[in-house]
Amino acid sequence: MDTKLRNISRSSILKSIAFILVVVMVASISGMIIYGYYSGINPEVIFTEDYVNSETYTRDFRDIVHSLDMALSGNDTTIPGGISYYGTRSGQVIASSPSISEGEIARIYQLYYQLDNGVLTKYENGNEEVILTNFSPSGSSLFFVIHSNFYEEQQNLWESGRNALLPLVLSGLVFIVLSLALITYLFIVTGRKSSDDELHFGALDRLYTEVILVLIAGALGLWIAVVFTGTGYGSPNKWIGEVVIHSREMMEIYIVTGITAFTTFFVGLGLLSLARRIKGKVLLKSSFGYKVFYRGFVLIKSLIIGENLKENPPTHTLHKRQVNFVLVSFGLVFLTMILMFTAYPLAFIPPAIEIFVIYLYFKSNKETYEEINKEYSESLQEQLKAERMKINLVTNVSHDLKTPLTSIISYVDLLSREEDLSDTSRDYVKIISEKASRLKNIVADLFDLAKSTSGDINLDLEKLDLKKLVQQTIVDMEDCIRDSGFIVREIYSEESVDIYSDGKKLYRVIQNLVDNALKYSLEGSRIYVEVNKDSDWGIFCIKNTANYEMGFTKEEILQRFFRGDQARSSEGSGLGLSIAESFTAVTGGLFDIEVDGDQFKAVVKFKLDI
Amino acid sequence: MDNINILVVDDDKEIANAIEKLLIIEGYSVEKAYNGLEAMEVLVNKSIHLIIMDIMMPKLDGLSATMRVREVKNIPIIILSAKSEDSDKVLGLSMGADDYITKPFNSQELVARVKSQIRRYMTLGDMNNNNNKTQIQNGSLTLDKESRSLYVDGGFIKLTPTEYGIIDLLMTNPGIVFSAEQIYEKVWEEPAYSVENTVMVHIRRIREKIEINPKEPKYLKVVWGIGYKIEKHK
Repeated sequence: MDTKLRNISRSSILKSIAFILVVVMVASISGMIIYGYYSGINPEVIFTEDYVNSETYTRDFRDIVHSLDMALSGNDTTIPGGISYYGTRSGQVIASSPSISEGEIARIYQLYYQLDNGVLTKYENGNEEVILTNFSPSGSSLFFVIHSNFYEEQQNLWESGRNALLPLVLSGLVFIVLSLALITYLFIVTGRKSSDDELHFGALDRLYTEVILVLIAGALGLWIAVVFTGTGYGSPNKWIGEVVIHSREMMEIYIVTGITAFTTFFVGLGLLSLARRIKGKVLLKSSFGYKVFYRGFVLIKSLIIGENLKENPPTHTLHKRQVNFVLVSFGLVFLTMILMFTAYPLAFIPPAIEIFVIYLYFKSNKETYEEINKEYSESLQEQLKAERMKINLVTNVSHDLKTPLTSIISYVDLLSREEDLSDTSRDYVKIISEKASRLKNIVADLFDLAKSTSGDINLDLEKLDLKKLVQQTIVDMEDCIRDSGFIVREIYSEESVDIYSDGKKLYRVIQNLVDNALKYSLEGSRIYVEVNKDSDWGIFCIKNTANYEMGFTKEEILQRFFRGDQARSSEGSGLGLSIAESFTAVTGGLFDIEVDGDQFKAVVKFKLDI
Repeated sequence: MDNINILVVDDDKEIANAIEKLLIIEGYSVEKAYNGLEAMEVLVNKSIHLIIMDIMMPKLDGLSATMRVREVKNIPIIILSAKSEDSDKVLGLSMGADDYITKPFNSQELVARVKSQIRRYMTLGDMNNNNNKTQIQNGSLTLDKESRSLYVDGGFIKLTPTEYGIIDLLMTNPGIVFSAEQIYEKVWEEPAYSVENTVMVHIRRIREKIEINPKEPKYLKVVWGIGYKIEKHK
């Protein structure tokens, strides 16, 4: 269950959706704020349901009193509708209508206000209550009544504003809460994959930390610049019960939403990358400053301690000595300078010490150099010795094998000349003789192969005609071919095929390949020998149909002693193809084998010599 | 042919014994030595007509011994060695040996080569001094241009006119490689076209007539991919 949840929560699709949602919501919030601002709705509508209980009403009330006061002083002001008033000052009278009088207001209305000598008194059902006192004592008298239609109108506006703003604010709040939740989620899952518990870094994380920081700062700076230069050209519209937004203001909303989305996107990516770095504890390591500092540290360390020279003791000693020398010399120079200014006559001492130090430095360096030279020549000698030993080994083993074999063959031969042998003994001697001569062939082949693979082989390279060579080889092997009963079809190119190789070695290659075909071909099938050339290569190829199922790969058959027929019934050393391959390679050609069903094909290629 | 003394030098006593038996069957008398120094002693004390010499031996190796023998004697020396590289053979022959056989050897071949060297040394020794202008000498081969005949170790070899033409061309120019086309044009006196097989077949036949071991020819050699030549021998 946990794993399943983890799989879902870490899926990249979910992460992308969350990220896009955050961007959209943040952008929307910014748009909403501008929208709310330009709509001109009093934000207090959200907190207070009734107009009369609002701070706004208190302010409005004071504004009304203030306007009336101003009007009484003879200033030109606008008195809102729904208010009846009567006031006198220094003989000047103001009234909402000519028919109204002071006594009338007090008589008709159960609730009215009187402003007298800077004191505002509220009269309600005969009770009086002083509510404001800080008006100017101007020796005037003012009565006024705020009618219910004023309250109703204001309350209507208040409620419409509330109805318009509340959903906006609520959805804004939801967006904020949701965004915060999604941002938390993103910070938790970023860098994690559903497949494992490892932390994975993205393409962005390969950038230096500083680059990310600059990108974030840049995006924020751009946002501030755009918001400050691109907005504030309008002013909040008066709330008249419906939203009035002019096109210029609408454009600002679009601009702000757009730039906010853009900024949120890039800042979000940047912050997530930083979060991954913090989680992986590489925030510092991935910074450019750290890298520079670290490299510098390593460089200085290797310069002073010679870390990379530790495997080579003499070189390391040399290095340590060098560092010491530099430090001591530096100290001595410093000392000389100090002495020159303080105790002038003593200034000659450090240079004298320096001369001695230089002498010591060169002396011990010379010893180390000699040591290095000795070690170098010793290792060179050892290498040569190993090389010579390898070659000697081949020669010696060959000699040690051939010597007893010579005795065996000679004595078997002498034995077969004995006249008083029984028929059975004669048979045995014949078998020994055959096996001994086969052993002789194997040893010879083995020796050839060892020499060519160890690289210790004398080559006699010259320009020759591959076509001629193959013709000569086929005629040379005429007896073998005739005895085998196979037909060898020869196909030659019209022109000569000039290559650069060793004729004797190449003869062995062709001979071995033909021999191989004669040994392992299906009775009655034909063997095809072809010499051709293309623009770059001279190509020899031999094809035959095997008389057994070739259940082996190209690599297997080139192994030494590999025999296609597992019974190993036939004659031969089993080294034929290996020798062919090795000799081809050593004389500068390419050797390849193709097995296709029962078809066996060997190809020998040499660069044309033009 | 009576009382021909052959010196067999080999540090492996069994091999020396085997060769001794083989040669005694063929009617030769044999002296044995087990290193180069002993061989030099035997040479001083006995009359020797041919030496069979191993190379890898203690005290004095076969090549040095061969050189020392050559300083005092002109008898045939056959090297019998496990070293089978071409470079070894060239080295042995240039040190003064007359023939080179590799171990393990075929007894018939060894006997045939011994006989060939003995024949040359015993019976044809004078022919070298004869210096007949119509005769060309190369190792065991003698070509008489006047009678258009070839002798191997003094024995007459029957050749067809074409075979004689080829051997004449190659022996007159020892060591020089001729392509099949060149041989055909010179011997058949016709323009050559696709003649590799024809020439090669003749070469094979000649080889069977003049070589002790046609598979490892001493004189008539194929230069693979180029042509044919007769190797120069003294």
